[in-house]
Amino acid sequence: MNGPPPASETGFDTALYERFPTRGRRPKGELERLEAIWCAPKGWQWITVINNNYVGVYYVGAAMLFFVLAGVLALLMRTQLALPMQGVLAQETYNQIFTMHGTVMMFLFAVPAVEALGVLLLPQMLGARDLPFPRLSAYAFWAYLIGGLAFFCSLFFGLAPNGGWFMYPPLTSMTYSPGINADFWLLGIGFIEISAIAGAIEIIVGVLKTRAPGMTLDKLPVFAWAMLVFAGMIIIAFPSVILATTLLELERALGWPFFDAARGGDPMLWQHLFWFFGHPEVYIIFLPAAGAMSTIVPAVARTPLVGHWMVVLAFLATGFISFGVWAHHMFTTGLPGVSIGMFSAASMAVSLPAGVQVFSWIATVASGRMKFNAPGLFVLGSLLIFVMGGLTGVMAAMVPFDWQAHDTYFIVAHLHYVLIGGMVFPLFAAIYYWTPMVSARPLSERLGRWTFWLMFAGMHLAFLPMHLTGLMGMPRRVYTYAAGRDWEWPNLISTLGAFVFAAGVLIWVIDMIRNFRPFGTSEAGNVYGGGGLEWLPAGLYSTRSIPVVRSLYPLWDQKNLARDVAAGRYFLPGAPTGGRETLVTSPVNAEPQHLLRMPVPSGWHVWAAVFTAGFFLLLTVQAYAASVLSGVLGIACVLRWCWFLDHPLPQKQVDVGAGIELKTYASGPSSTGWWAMVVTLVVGGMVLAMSVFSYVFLWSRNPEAWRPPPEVSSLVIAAVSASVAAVLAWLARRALNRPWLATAMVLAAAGLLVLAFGVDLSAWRGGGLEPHASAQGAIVYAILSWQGFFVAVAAIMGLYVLLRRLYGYVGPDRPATIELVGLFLGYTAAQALVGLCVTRLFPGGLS
Amino acid sequence: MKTWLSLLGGLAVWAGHFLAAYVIASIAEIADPQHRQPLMMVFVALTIACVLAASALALRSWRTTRQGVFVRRLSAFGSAVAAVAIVWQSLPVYWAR
Repeated sequence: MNGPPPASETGFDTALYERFPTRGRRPKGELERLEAIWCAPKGWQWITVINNNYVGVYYVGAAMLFFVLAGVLALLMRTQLALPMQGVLAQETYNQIFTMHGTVMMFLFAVPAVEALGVLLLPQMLGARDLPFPRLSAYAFWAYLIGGLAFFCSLFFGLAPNGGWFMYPPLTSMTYSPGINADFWLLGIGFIEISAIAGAIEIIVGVLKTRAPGMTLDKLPVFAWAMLVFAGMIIIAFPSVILATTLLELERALGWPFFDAARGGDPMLWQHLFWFFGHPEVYIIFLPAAGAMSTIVPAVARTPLVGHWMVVLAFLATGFISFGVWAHHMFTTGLPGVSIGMFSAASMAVSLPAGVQVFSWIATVASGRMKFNAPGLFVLGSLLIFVMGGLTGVMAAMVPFDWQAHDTYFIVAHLHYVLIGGMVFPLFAAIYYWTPMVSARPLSERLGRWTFWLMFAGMHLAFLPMHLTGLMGMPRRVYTYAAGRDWEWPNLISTLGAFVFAAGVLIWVIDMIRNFRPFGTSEAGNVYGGGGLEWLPAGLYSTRSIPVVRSLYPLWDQKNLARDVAAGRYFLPGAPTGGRETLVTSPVNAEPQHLLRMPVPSGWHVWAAVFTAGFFLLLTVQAYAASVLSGVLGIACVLRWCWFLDHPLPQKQVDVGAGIELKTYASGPSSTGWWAMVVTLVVGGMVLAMSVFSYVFLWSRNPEAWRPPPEVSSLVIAAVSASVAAVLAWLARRALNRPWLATAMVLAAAGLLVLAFGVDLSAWRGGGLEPHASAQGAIVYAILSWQGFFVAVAAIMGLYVLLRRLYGYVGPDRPATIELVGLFLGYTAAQALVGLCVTRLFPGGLS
Repeated sequence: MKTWLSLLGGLAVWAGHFLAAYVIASIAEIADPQHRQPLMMVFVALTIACVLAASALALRSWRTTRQGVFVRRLSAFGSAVAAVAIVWQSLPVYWAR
C-alpha cells in the first residue's frame, strides 16, 4: 500500500513546514505579552474564566464530586441489603436512592467526566491554545454543575425520582408516579443532556479544526480519535433521550398519550427511544476511556501502541455497531423473532472491536517494558475487569440466557464489570497519569497503589458474588429479601466489597487533598514519559509556539521539540493581533487555514447557564411564569454573548511565524462557526428522525384508529412557504453586497416559516385532532411543537440580524452571521417539509 | 469530505443495511402472510447489493493513490469488515423467515 504522499487539502504548501524550527532570537517582550493576554483570573474571574486550564479542572472536579456522592448512595443501598429484612432504608427511600445512584453515575459522572477530560486535555494534545469555543465549554460546565447539584438536592426533600434510571412508563406515568419526582428526572436530565451536546460540539470542531499543523489523521493522538467518535455518538444518540424525556413530560403535564395504551399509545416506544440512546451510552462512556488507555499503555510500557490503525478502526466500528444493539435490552418484551435474531447478532458483533482494542493493549504491554506504577496498575486492572464484563456481555447477548438473567443481579454484576473496568479504572489511570500535567505535584505512588488494590479487591468482592445471587434468582431493585434463599452470604460479601472499594476511593481523595496543586506557575511535568504534545512545557496560553507535528509520538521522535517550542521557534510564537488566538487548520491534513481570535472572559455564559437551569428547575416545580421569565433572560444572555462574535479585525492578514501569513477572518466550511452550526443541525435532524420513527411506530400499533389528515390546500400553502423561505435563506448570503436586501431576505424567510407553521397548525386544529385524545394527536402535535421551537428560534435570529444591521454589523466584510442564520433557516424549512410530508402523506396519501 | 466518505463509507453501508433490515422485519411483522415472501426477496436483493457496495468500496480504497496509507488502510479494512458484518447481520433474518 505504498504510493505518493496525499495531495494538499487546501492549497497550502506543506514545504513551508521546513522553515521550522526557526533560528535566531524572538523579539524582546513577546513572551511577556503572551502571558499578559492569557493571564490568570482574579476575584470574580475565577467564575467567569473560560480558559480550558481552569474550566477543564473544574469540570473533572465536579464529575468526581458526583462520583463520590453516587458512591455514598451505593453504600447506603449495600448496607440495606447486607442482611435479609433490614430496615436501614424505607422502601420509598430505597427506590429514590437506587434511581439516583444509577442516574447520577450515568448522567452526572460518567459522560461529564470523559467530556471534562477532553476539555482539559485536548487543547494541549492537539497543540491548540484552547478549544475553538471556550465560552461554550464554560457554559456547558456551569449548566451541568448548577443543574446537577439542584437535581441531586431533590433527594434531601424526598422529591428524587424513584422509577429506576431508565424510568419505564407506565410506572413513571402520572397514574403510578404522581408528584414531581419523575418530573425532576425528565426535566433535569433533558437539561443536562443539552450541556453534554454543547460539550460534544466543542470537541468535534476542536479535534477537526484546531490541530497543530502537520497533525494528519495518522498522527492524530489516539485519545483525540476516541473523543471525536465519542462526540459524534453523543450527537447521534442523545437527541433520542431528549425526545423521549420531552414526550414523557408532555404526557405527564398535558396528558398527551404517547405511552398510554388505553388511548392508542405504547410504552414500548419509550423503551425503543431510551435504549437507542442507552446502549450507545455505554460505548460513549467506554470509548474515551479506551482512548486514554491507548495513550497510557504505550507510555507505561515505553513502546508505541501495537496496531494503532486497527484501534482507530475499532473505535469507528464501535461507533457504528453500537447503534444496532439497542433492542438487546428488550429481548423479554415480546419483540418479533426476526428482530431478536438481528439484535442478538449485532450484540455479539460489537464485542469484536472491543476485543481488537484489548488485544492491542495486551500486545503493547507484552512488547514493551511495563512499569507497574499507579497508572500502570489501573490499566492492567481495567483490562482484567473489562474482559470479564465483556464475556458476561456476550452471555447476555444470547437470547435464551438473557431470558433467564434479565432483571436479576447477574445483569447488575455484568454492567458494573463493564462500566468499572471500561470506564472507572481507566479514568483513575488517567487521573494518576495526567495529574502532573496540571498540578505542581504528582499524586503519591504509594497511596496510588493502596487506592488501586483496595478498589480492585473491593470491586471483585462486591460484584463477583452478584453473578451468583442473580443466577439464584435475586431480582434487581428489591429493597430487601427474605432469609432462607441462600442469598445471605453473597449479599453480605457484596456489601463488604463495596466498603473496601469505598476505602480505596477515600484514600484517593486524601491523596488529592495532599498533593493536587493546580493553577500554579509550574507543573510536575512528564513523570511517566509520555510522547504526546500535552507534555510540552506550557503556560496558560498552552504551548509557547505551536509545533509542526511529524510523528504520532512527537516528543519521542522529534529531536529538541520541547526546547524549540518553548523558545518560540514554531507557529504563533506571539500574539500578532494582540488578543487570544489559535490556529485553525484543515480537518484531514491539518494545514493552516486562518487565525482564530478567541474570546476573553465575561459573565454572559455564566448567567446564561444560571437562567437556563432556572428555566428547567422552575418548570419542574410548576412555577410557569417564573420559568418563562428565566428562559427569556437566558436567551437574552446568549444573544449578548453572540453579539461579541463576527467582528473582523483591523489586521486582515498576519504573520504567524517564519513569514507565513494567514487571514484573521473566515466564513464557510473553513470556519469553526460553520462546523458548529452544521453539527447543531445534525442534532435537530436526529430529533426529527426519532420523531418520525415514533410517528410510524405509534401508527403501526393501532392503524385503524388513525384519522385522515386535513385538506390539501393548507399542505400546499405551507409547503410553498417553507420552500420559498429556503430559497431566500440561500440567496441572502449572495446578496451581502446590499446589506439591507440581505437582511430583508432573512426576515422574509423567517416570516414565511412562521406562516408555514401557522397554516399547518391551524389546519390540524380545524380538523378536530386533539393532542390529548389519541396517540396520533399527541405525536402530530409533538412534531408540530418541535417545528414551532425551531420557528421561534428562526424568528429570534431574524430580529437579531435586523439589530446587527441597524448597528452596521451586516455587510460583505463579515458574512459569517448571515451565512449561519441562513443555514439554520434552510434547515428549518427542510424540517417543515419533512414534517408536512410525514404527517400529511403517511398513512393514506392525500385522500 | 471525500476522505471522510471514504473512511466511513463501508460502515455507513452496514448501518444503512441494518436500518433497512429492521424496517423490513418490522413491516413483515404486521404485513399479510402472503406479502412476507416478496419482502424476503427484497431483503435478499438488498443484502447482495450492500455486500457488493461494501466490497467495491474496499477494493477502491485499497487501490487509490490519492490518499495516505493510513486512510487507505482504514477505508479498505473498514469496508471489508462491513461486508462481512452485513452477511453476519442478515443470517438471523434469513433463518427466521
